[in-house]
Amino acid sequence: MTGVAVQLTGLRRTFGTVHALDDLDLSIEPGELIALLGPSGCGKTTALRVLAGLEDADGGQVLVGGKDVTGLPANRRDMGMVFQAYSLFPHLTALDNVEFGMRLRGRRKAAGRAREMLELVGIEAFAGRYPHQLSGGQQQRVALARALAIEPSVLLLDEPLSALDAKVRVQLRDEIRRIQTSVGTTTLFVTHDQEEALAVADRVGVMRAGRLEQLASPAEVYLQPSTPFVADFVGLSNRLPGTATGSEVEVLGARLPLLTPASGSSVTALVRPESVDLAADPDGAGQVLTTSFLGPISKVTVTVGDVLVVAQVASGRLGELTAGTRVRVTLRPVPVTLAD
Amino acid sequence: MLLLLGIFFLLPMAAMVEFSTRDSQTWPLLVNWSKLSETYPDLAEGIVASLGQAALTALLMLVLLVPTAIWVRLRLPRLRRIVEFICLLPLTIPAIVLVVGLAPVYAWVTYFLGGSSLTLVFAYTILVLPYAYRAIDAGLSAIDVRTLAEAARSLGAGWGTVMWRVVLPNIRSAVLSAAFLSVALVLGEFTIASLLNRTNLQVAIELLGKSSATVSVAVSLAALLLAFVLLLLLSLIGDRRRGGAAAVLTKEPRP
Repeated sequence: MTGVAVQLTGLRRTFGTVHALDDLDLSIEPGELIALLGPSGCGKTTALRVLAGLEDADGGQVLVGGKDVTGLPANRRDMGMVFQAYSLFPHLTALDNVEFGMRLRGRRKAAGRAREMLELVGIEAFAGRYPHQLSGGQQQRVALARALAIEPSVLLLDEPLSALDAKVRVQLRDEIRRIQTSVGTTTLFVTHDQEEALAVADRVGVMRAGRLEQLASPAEVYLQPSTPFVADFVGLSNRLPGTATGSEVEVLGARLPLLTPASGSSVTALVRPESVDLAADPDGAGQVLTTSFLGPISKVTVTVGDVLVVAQVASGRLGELTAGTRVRVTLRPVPVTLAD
Repeated sequence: MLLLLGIFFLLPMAAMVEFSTRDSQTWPLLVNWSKLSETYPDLAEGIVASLGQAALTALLMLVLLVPTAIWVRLRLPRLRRIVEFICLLPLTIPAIVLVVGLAPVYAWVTYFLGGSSLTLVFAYTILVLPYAYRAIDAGLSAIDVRTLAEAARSLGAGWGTVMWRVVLPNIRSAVLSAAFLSVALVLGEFTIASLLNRTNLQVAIELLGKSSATVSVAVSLAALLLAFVLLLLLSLIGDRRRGGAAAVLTKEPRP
């Protein structure tokens, strides 16, 4: 199975006075997995639903494999979809659910392929169970198998993991990536969880108010955010006051390169916690306020005068950075973005 | 309290049993259809008419209400309150007032379709709407109709398939409840049939009461028992549904 290209051009959709989609342009390469990321109400789900044909656009065009499908109803778009809510048909077993779409297409040997699909998502042992006899994670696996069984040209995932607990979410997230890579279906994955988006996607599209703020690889979105919104939304950032001079900004005594030029001299720089180094020093300008153990890494909050700085350190160093310890704060010369 | 209620309900029934068994021929006659229809042709006609009315009312109600309720949930959620209001309206209008309004309508019905007692089906469909709507709406509320429909649509199902193969099987007990309630209501209806000069079981029983009191009481009791059995079945369906849900809660799902 090879994927097809998808193009959304100038999509517009309004709900009352709210612009859910505001001239949205998005191109997905064949076989690519794009994650749309953004806060609630940014239009990511609307974009996916317009692509699925479940929502009509007020304007714009949807091209799948070069074919204009803007006017086609959902049942003729050939797209597999996994929903946020559990969407298995309660009166059918897992196997029957997976067969449903294939039978509608009059495919022979539907049962055989349905079993293959259940095997692909690692749940073949539960083929005869009804949805109410499956856990949330198992239901979403069956839903994924059902969506893939019809060999869709595009796979749409609408926050499929958000109802699951943390451990299952990570497991299934990795499974989705493995399966998508093996079948090669072009995939649009909508999520509000940035970790999820960065972990599974070839490219991440960060949306705000119906528009794409940035569409780039996960590393680029994280390390070189194109707008203050992206820098602020993706990952954690310290908001530190500084003075901009040309293509640099001076923050806490360090000169950091700027990703985008400053419009004034008095600015707020967005600095990642992993760019902050702490060293215990009785003459240091900072003082440890709190520490949070997060597993292999930990978070340390430090006050420098009136400014709060969050740093990320190896958990093994927590012993030397107890609350009240004086520390020297240094910033690595990593390019930073300025806040709005 | 329960004992008092039991006495309140059972005493009249015990009296009916006692009265209807005074003539030993009464009950054997009721189970002998050919003899019954020969002896009391009006009663036989009333029974046939009521059964026909009950079946057709349930059918017409389902054909009208089920697709409407599903469509309103899926595509016109804003109309839900209005549809609910319209469906519950007959509950607030006394039957006698309904008849006054229906009389001129039925003049036209008689003109076009004749005076058959089966034409009462139109009035009865309106009469059963509040109960049937409540039952079907409860069934639809228990499932996520929108997501199920969208999932089916994305798999290639047209609206007909969504209704017939996805939504209906999941509100089967609600549909059965609506049908049973309709049948029970129609079998007990007297006012509209009598005032519109049509026949049905209750009209026949009332007429029979004037000539053969024991048979009239025996038939009333049989109709009452039939309605009781229907409501018992309805309650059993409800229990099975709740039992299924409880089974889900007691299972320990694995990730």
